[in-house]
Amino acid sequence: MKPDDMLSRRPGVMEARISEDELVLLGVGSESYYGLDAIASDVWGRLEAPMRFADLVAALAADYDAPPETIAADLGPTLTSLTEGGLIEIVPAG
Amino acid sequence: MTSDAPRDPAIDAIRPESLSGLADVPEAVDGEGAARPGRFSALGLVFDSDLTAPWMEPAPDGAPADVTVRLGPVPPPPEDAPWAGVWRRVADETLVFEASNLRMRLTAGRRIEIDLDRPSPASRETATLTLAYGAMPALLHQRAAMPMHAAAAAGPAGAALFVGDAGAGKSTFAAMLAGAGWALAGDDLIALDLSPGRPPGVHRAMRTARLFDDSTRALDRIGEDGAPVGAAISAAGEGVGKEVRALADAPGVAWPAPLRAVFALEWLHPDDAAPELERIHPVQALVRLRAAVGRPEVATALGRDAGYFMELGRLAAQVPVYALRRPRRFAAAPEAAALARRVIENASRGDAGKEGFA
Repeated sequence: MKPDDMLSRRPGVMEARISEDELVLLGVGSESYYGLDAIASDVWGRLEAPMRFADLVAALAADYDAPPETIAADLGPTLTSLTEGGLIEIVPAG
Repeated sequence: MTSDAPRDPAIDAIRPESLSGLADVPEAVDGEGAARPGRFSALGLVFDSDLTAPWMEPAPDGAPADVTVRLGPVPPPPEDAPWAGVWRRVADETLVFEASNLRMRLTAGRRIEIDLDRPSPASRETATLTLAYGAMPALLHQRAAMPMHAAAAAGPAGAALFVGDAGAGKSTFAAMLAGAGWALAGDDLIALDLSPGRPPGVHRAMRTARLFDDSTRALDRIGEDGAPVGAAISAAGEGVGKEVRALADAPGVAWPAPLRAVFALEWLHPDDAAPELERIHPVQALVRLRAAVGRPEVATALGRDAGYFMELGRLAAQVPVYALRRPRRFAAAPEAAALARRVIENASRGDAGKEGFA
């Protein structure tokens, strides 16, 4: 993923909080429920407004006190899962 | 209903005019033939209604009406009005249902109009049952009040909600607890109290149950040794095989009753297996609860899905949901119902998680 790739929520995704740390998402017309742990929930929350990948990494690195490279690597599976589930959209940098 | 209209089993079930046992229902008509309004309470709402029945819960004195029900003309829906399940959405806040025996219009969750001036008009009894079982889910959706296709019973310790597929035994379990001294919160349609800032609760729906014939017969056998299940108030549902019964009330329940647990009813093999209870993870609980939302097509048409999903998440977070499994033979049901009852009673004592049935 490139720093200028834009991440945004897909419209119509429904969310339900089932505990302080866990969020469940359900895409439009989907019957696949996605359970998000605390960090994935945090990512989802930050994407309420569209965001550049680099900005998301920087924000998480600051809040979790971790190197940006580590955050970027850790984000990969989460973003892939959210994308494949039709929950977020990634628009590649022009 | 036109031939291409979706069918609603609940409404189909109560359409036949061969209803019995209602001969003693007083016709709420005054000397000039006009309908006489009555008041009843159901689903957490107070109704000021032209149609009432003895099996409806009287409204508290002085409580303002939330919904008015009137007999009167209802124009047919425009041909191009979009469908919302069996309803036609004729305006943002107006739904119309049309059948050969009556036409109904629901407006903004506050007004129900029923037109009996039809080619083969429904009797007042059928219209009343249609009001109770056909109109209410859509009315609740209009009010964003999330109707549940479920059954529930409550005792002094709180309420149990039963969900599951058609034929899973929801009615039977709720009626069984009601027959053992609890109050039937409702059957087929349950309204939950999900007011912010307090634990989820169960409203009184109707003091009636819709039972399959085999469950009715089996409950009658249990009734020989225990509390009577209640007199049949109607034979309803040709081809559906359900009978509507009014069940005895029980003292000591304050409505809405706190919802202590949800039981998703499942079958178990082999036939001689002991009933099982398993706490379901909240994600799975959310899936089960969502499947129990009544008339989901109406919810979708009215844009309620996202709001309900959030509420169901809160429900799954706050109320334990169990898979309650028992063999298909009816004799296994009382033991399973007793298990559910123990969960509720333990939960009310703050012993959730120590059910002691393992």
